[in-house]
Amino acid sequence: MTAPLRAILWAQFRILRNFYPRTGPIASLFAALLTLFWYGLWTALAVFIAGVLRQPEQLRSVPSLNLPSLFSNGLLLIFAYWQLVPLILVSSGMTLDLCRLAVYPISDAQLFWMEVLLRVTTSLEMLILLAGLAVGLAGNPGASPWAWIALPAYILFNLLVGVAVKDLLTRLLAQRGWREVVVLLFVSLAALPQYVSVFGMPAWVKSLLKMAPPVWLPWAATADLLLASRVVWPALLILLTWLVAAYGFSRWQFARSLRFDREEVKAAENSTNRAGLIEHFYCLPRRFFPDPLAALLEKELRFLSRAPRFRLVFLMGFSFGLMIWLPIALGNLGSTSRSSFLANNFLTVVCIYALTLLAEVAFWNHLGFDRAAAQLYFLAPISYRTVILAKNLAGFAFLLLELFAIFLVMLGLRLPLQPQQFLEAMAVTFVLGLFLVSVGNAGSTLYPRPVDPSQSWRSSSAGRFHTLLLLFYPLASIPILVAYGARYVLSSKQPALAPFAFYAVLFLGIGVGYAVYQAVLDFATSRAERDREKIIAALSASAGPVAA
Amino acid sequence: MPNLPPDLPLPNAPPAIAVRNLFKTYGQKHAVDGLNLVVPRGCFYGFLGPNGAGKTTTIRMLMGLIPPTSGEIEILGFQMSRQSLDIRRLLGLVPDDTLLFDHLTGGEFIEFVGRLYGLPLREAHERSRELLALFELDGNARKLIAEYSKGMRKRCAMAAALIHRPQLFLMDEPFEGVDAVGARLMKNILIEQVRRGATIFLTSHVLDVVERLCDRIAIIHEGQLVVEGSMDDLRQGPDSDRETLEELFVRTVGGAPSTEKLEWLA
Repeated sequence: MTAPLRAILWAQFRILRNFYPRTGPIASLFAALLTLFWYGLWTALAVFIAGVLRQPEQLRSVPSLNLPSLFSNGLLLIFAYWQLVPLILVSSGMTLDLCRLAVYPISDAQLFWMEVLLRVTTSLEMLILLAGLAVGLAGNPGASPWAWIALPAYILFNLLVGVAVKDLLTRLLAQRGWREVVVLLFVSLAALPQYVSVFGMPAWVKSLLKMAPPVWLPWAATADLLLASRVVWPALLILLTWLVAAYGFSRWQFARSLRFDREEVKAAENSTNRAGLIEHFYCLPRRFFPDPLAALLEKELRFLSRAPRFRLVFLMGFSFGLMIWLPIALGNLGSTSRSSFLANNFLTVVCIYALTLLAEVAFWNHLGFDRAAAQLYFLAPISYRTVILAKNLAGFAFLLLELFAIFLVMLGLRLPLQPQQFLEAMAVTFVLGLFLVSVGNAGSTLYPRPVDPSQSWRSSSAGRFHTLLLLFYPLASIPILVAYGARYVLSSKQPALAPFAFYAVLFLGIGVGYAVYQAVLDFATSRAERDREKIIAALSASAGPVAA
Repeated sequence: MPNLPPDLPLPNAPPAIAVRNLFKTYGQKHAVDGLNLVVPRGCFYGFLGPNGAGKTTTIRMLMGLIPPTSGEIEILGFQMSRQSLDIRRLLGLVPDDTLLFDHLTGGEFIEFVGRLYGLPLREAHERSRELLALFELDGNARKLIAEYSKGMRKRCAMAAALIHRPQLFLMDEPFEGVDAVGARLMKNILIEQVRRGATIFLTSHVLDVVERLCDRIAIIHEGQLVVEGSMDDLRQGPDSDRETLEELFVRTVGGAPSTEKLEWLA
């Protein structure tokens, strides 16, 4: 092993270790136990695989079991896990960015193979599984000798593709527009299990899983070699071809990432910047409000709409929200009272979901989300109350836009949409929003936490505040629950009065919400005046792992 | 650290940096526009320019971080396009913030860089410890770079740049955010490095420091070299011997903005 390689592996280890906050012995013990449990689970699964593979005849004797298909799909899952998990790790800064080492005396080829090797450390789970597979095959006298070529080749194939995918996505994530699309794609992938649990596996996927996969796919070719179930030479040729292709693709992607110039991307983005309709939107506040409120509000609108994290959440509100709730609502229409309630109030549910998403970036930690501006708020001759008001108005402006976007998407998809549903969704979201914004104002002042608005994945508010939110959500929902309760009770006795009762309770909720909002605003203003030093100190801390 | 013998340049040695007709273009804009530059060995060279003049882009090309659109770069006699690995062995870098690893401590980072330059583990560890102490970062040994202030980050980058005793230092704003004591220390170390024959190429907006330290100065504006030479060469006018670098700089890149243009500010 060369000295730079040892140094890089050592640095990767230190980064992984340093990534987690340095805590006391109990927390360290807990973390160690958790790690042991996690890898223990994978090891148990690997032991199970090894045990089964020692006697594959037993498997072959099960008539309904398509062994090549089982192996091929298992290897496909390994491939998917291997590619996905390291991407999540790199997004949170846990892996060494080798492109930063381009200035040191290490050749590009060396750096490339180090990157390949680092892919091993970022997906140990799959190595454990494949080790189980290897042990099982080693203990089986009838195992295919080709397995000893197929397994290392498949591991190398995964590592190479991992490098290519990581490099390609890292560059895409640096570009405005692409970043949002890519992250949305990942979030949608994360929602797949929920889809499957609600709808079940689509028939075409089931049949695809049952049929023998085409041999030209790398996992199918590897499965063939492991089982020696078909003529092995074509499978070997296919796997090696995939390996060479993966090598070429990953070298190409790595070379591009190594010389990737973010300035070039910025220059391209700036050249396409056009002040058009959006500029009119930013300038709207000056028509309705006096300065400094209008100035602060305009600044918030500009900042939020340019923050990658906010853009992603906004995009998710009307796309991912619809994607996740639509199948649940329509899939269970009329099946049970609970799910039919969901179907009847689908629009309201989607709007509330969008509100909770937006609250994460616009309400819960609004000082920390734009921490660079926080000092100015305390230095400029403006009251903290005006600052919060501007932040809240900006949050509500985007909420309104979000709701309109949801309605437009629903109209575009020709989903059933009644005017009263529209009105109800708006009213309910507004009342809940009024209470949530109050909670956010208190939380932002009491638990300010620095956040990088360009990071799309990490949570933006403090852990303690998140725990408190579990308590505040039900409290904030009381007026809405009462409104729905009133409508439910009256709908059987006096149906004509039910909508009036519903809106009357919501109207009352607005009154209570406004009173709560004012009280919290006073509280937050006085606390901010008192704790301004503490707040600035908290927001000045780095957004590094210890501060996070 | 042990006293090492000086490695003063040979008389016929190629220049530390030779840049010929260098261009870097972003879209329609030339960030660097036909730059020609020769930096002699053993020289303390100040590379100046207003914000957005192309200093950082030039230094990033010299470091090999970004390729030029066209033109040639020769460092210590090696061609950047063909011998970049040989060049990297001889460089000490104080880049902008982006090349530090936030999740390492200062000591870990310096040791890591030393090992990348091929120092044996024990030596890298020992030098890292000494450099931490020299730059007064040893009191924050367990602190991650992510938690460092801007000045501490610069000191850490400078310590890492020194660990392998390079022949050429490329420094982008090394004094930015560094306190007076730290800046004094850094200046003394740099002067010592020039005495032993190393070359320093730095960008800085702290003009009085540049004036006092640098043997030669280049000023670029909108990607093009405007003036180059020693302070004595560059001074002009009747009171030329009293002209400061700040005055020279302002005269060269387009004059001081007049507050008289804004009546309300007068």
